[in-house]
Amino acid sequence: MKKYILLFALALIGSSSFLQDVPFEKDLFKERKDEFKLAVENIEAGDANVYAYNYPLAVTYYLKANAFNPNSGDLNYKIGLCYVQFDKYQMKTYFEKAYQLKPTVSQDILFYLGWCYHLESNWTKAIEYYNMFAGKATAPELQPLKTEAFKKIQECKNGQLLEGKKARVWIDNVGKEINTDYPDYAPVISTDEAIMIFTTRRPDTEEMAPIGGYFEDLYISRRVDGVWTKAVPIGKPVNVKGQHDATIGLSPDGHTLYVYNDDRGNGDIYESIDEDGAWTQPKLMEKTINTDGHEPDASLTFDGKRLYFTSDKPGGFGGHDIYYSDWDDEKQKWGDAVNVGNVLNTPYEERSVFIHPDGETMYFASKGHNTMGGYDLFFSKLVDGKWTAPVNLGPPLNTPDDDVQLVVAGNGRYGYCSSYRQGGYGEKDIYVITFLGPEKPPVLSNEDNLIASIAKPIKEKITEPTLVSEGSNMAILTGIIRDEKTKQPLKAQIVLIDNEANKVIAEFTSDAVSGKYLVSLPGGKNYGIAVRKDGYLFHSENFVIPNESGFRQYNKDADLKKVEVGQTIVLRNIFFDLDKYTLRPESVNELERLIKLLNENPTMKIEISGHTDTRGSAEHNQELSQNRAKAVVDYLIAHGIDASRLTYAGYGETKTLISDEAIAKMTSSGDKEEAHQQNRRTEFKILSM
Amino acid sequence: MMIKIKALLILITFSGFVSAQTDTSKTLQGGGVDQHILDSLGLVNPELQKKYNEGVRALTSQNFMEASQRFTEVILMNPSYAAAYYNRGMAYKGLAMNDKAVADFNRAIELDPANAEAAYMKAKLFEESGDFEQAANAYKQAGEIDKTNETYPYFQGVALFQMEKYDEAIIAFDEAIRRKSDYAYAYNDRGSSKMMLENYDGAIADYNSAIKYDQYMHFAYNNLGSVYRNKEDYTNAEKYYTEAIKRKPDYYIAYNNRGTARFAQGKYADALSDFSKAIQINPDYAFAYNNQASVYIKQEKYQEAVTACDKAIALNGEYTEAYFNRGIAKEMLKDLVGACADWQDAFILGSENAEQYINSPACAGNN
Repeated sequence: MKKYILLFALALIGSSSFLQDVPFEKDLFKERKDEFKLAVENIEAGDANVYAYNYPLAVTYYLKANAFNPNSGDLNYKIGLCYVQFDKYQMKTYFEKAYQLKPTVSQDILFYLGWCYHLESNWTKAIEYYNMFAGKATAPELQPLKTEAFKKIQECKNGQLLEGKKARVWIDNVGKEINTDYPDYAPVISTDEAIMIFTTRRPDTEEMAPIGGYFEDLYISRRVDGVWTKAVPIGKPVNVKGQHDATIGLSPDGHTLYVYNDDRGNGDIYESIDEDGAWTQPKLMEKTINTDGHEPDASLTFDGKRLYFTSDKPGGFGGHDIYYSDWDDEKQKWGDAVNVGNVLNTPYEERSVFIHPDGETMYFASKGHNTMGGYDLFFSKLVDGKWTAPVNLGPPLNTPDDDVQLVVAGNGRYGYCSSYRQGGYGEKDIYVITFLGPEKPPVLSNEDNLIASIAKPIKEKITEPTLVSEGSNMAILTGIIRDEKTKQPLKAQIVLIDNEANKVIAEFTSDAVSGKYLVSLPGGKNYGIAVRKDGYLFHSENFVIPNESGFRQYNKDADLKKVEVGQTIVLRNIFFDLDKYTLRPESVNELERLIKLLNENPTMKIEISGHTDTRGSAEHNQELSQNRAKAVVDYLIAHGIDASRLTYAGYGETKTLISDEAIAKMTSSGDKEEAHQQNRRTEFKILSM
Repeated sequence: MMIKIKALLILITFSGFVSAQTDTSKTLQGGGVDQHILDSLGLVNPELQKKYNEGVRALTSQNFMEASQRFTEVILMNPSYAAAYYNRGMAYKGLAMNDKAVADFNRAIELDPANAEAAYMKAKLFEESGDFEQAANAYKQAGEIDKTNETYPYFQGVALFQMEKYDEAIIAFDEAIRRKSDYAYAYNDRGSSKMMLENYDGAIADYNSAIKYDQYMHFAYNNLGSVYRNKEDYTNAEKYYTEAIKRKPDYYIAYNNRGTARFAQGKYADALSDFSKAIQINPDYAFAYNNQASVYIKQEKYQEAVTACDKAIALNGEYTEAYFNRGIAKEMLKDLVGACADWQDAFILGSENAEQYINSPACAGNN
């Protein structure tokens, strides 16, 4: 047996020795002088383009020379090095051949061969070459690469571990309405996936840049009935002809856009606002955010009160780090930048920060942690005010190459990224990631002849496994705000209140043109939502979003009523203890709004009315509603409203908003409970002005 | 074994159930009336005797209407004649006039408090109509009248089991075993009661006793396998299902069960083979199709899973798990509309997990 192995090895040696290095030496090409001269010129032209960093052009010259003499170890090595710069998946062919022809072509070729196998997820072979390189790299100038080799060996080991932890995702091209033959990348979305803005380098609106193709521009697409519409340029003033303009972030409601511009030479974050359908001139953000360093990423929290961004300014943990800045309401500006710390930041690069509107999940890219190669995508959760150790999103989302950017919709099921993948439309394309969540276990059926005297078997009871909620733990509230009578869209102020903390969390405005609004509601809170506009009565809604409740999307249109005699408003954020008429503390904000309205309209007289659902006795409900209405009036009087302006009445179950018949027809117990909830309410009515 | 019959009664009983081990069917005891006995009871009326015997003959030939009329005539002549009530009760039972039958059996017991058979027949009537509570009470009554008969407490236990009163069933089976220590059926059923109460070790002991007294009891082996499966001891589960199959090679239930034990061990090909065998033996066995689908889901053969679930649902349109599983397969085929519709059906049929799925983002706008 050993004899055959030896013969096989000798045969291999024989075949490899057949390939001989043929250097570009005049004497070797005496018969082809003119062709040789041209080939040498091509090599020189290639070299010149390498010095100009124009690697794609350099390769075209080198390949011409290579067609003349494909067996030069040196030239194959040069071609491989060029491909390292712009098309890594092409480099293996040339490095392998260079090594075969001339193993001494350069010591670093072992590193690059390791990288070639690394990119193919051939972890074992990659480690073998990286180790070979590290063993032979003694020259001082190779020490940085040797350090890199050791890091890459660790990345391969990470890859070996992560192979067994494949993420349950689908990765699908978002389609030709968005992607083109040209690079399309860096998508950002509103959290309800109604809007996507991305960067593209297509010729439609731009001219050629000095390097890398056309200048970058921002394009926008809207999703209608689940389908992305044809992307169009976002237009001026965001796009500037002959200048790179790139997306980096979009607020969850889709109204604040962060763009990247390096016209100051170091790359900064600019902000543009969607004001009534038109984007404002991008404005350079304050110095607390933009520095002399490089700030290429930004992401705004659901409440608009904190901006996460990345910077390579001095004082971090190394490379780009993730920072945040809080909005100072009093000073009306962004506060000092704070490094998020070394749980997330490493001595390597951290980029592409994206804070999910659930308020507790951060996605980012890092070359540190347990990356399997280059940048990998990670997520971390904010638990009790601290970020948890980042988790690698795993293959197939992460690859041995750079996986840099991911934005995730509010529902947590869909994310968007860009990458170069086979089967795309050309260059980088934008892909939608479907997060399938934990594996859905199938349910099997069994039966047994448990009773000896009964032939019919008995089916075993199915105990369904406990499932983890899919998607994110939050809700999105969307809707349109209109004038009740004219149905014209209104630009109104939407105030989001944490009822239990009695604190305003955020303020938004609806779009003046469409009246649309979007509010993100992270789980674990009792939210009061008040819609206000001068000249109109306020409108209130209440949402309790429990923890671990999964994702919900609500649509609530609000038709605002003018301040007129006879108008009635339901006060959704007035709460009482169960079956009692003691006002709960969470009611304060709503009551304060009512006091403000009465103070703004000093001649206004109102009636407060109490209503119950139809459960319980009519007498009891009548008494309860009367007492509750009185409790509200008592509060108003105690807070300075003249008693002569206030009357109260209890209507018990006599004026339900949803009838018992309608409730009886509902199939879901949740819907029924919600209907009863709608019927239990406090209202006020304007009696006179 | 034969039920003890009171000598004075001329009985015809009809049993809807014939167990393999316990023969509770009754035969006509004689064709007429012993005149000596009748004389001793003062029943010397020849007309009564004639009608009584006509009633017996009618009952024997399953002419229940005539039988009921004859025994009614006898009762009119002698309202204290317990046997006539019993036999008329049997005739009413044949006519599916259950209330009247029960009334007659009760009257027979009233007149003859030692008539355990009347209580037994009453229990059978209740059992057949699905009233297990009354059945259990009547079996108990029979067992109290005849304290030696092991079948009465046994069937009381069976009725209690069907009411899911497993603790009480165990007490009844205990009594049956006390009366007959090698009562294999009672051991099996007590084991099943213990399994339902998740007293797995107790169940194993009882099933082993059942096997000890009847080594051919294939279903006891199957049940033993199921206890081990519930204990997540899949190796032993597989072993005992195999023993059940050895004793009854066409036992498709055991094939199906062995398949699930193999599935739990990740032996998907073997599990699939078992489910296929179950289907080969019983092509209408919906469970095996559903379980096949579960294997296909694990093997990422989603279209095959959908087809298998389709077959299960064609056989049982209210098969919750098949809708649930088909939803999983359809989701993986990116047919979200179909998946969410299937989970909606599964939810309506009682699956809580399906409710969670239809409320998940996957089904937003798809159901």
